Amino acid sequence: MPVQPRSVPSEDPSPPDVNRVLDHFPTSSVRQLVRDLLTGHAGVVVDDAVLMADELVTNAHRHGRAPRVCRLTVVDHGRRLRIEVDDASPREPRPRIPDHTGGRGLILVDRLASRWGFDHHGDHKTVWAELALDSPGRGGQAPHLAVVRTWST
Amino acid sequence: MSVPSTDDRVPLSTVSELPEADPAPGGLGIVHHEVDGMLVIAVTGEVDLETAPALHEAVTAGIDRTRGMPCVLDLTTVTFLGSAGLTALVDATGRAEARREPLRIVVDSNRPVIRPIQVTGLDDVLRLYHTVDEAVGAGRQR
Repeated sequence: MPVQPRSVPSEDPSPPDVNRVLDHFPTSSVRQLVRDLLTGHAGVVVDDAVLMADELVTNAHRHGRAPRVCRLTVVDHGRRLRIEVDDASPREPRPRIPDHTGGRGLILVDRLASRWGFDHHGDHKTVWAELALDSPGRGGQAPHLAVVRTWST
Repeated sequence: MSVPSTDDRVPLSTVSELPEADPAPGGLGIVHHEVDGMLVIAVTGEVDLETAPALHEAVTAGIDRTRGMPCVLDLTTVTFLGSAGLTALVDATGRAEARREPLRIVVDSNRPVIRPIQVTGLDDVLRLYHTVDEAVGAGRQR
């Protein structure tokens, strides 16, 4: 795999706890992998982790290209879950104003993640998000989602 | 809760009366039943990109069937609701409002359902109720 500088340096060199090729792997199974990985946790943090992983994987299926890969890693001494989803499309995740046809996946990720972003590599991109496992209620937001702040119903 | 009957409602005799939905793993169970003459669509399982179309179809069909009356969507046993499911709820709510047949969504305190609704601000858009009885008892009109 070609190695390129990451726009956001990876802070944690830990090998992923879960590494799955997503093509032909149901999204429902990814959600179960998250629940299994967070067995020691309960409550809203598990719901949020499942939701975030589902949205990143769903985005890769809807807008990305094969091969798609998902990695789940508990980092920072168990304090954070890092979810990474690779796909072969260079197209960046773009927030849009939500309406009756969609547009809420990235909002969910943005509002639940302590931070998220994407990195371009030679032949693929990685969309990643991190969830604080020890502080429910946190809500970091990515600056490139600013357009959605204008959303009103 | 008892609600006065009206004469103009469409008979719901074609609605199935199965007591429990039994979805496949990762799938969706959808059961239609009737409470005090009002159509209640009860959904069980996980609403994701793959199953959201089935939810949308069931609700829009329900709205078609309940001409002139509210329709109740019971999500209290849904175990996952992703953005595709939120889209289905928003679109179905819009269609129902356009026909002046409110879609009443029962969410209880079911966290996997209420969490994505609140995080995306849709609790201001969707008509949410705590119980089926509350949704049915809210009357037949808006």
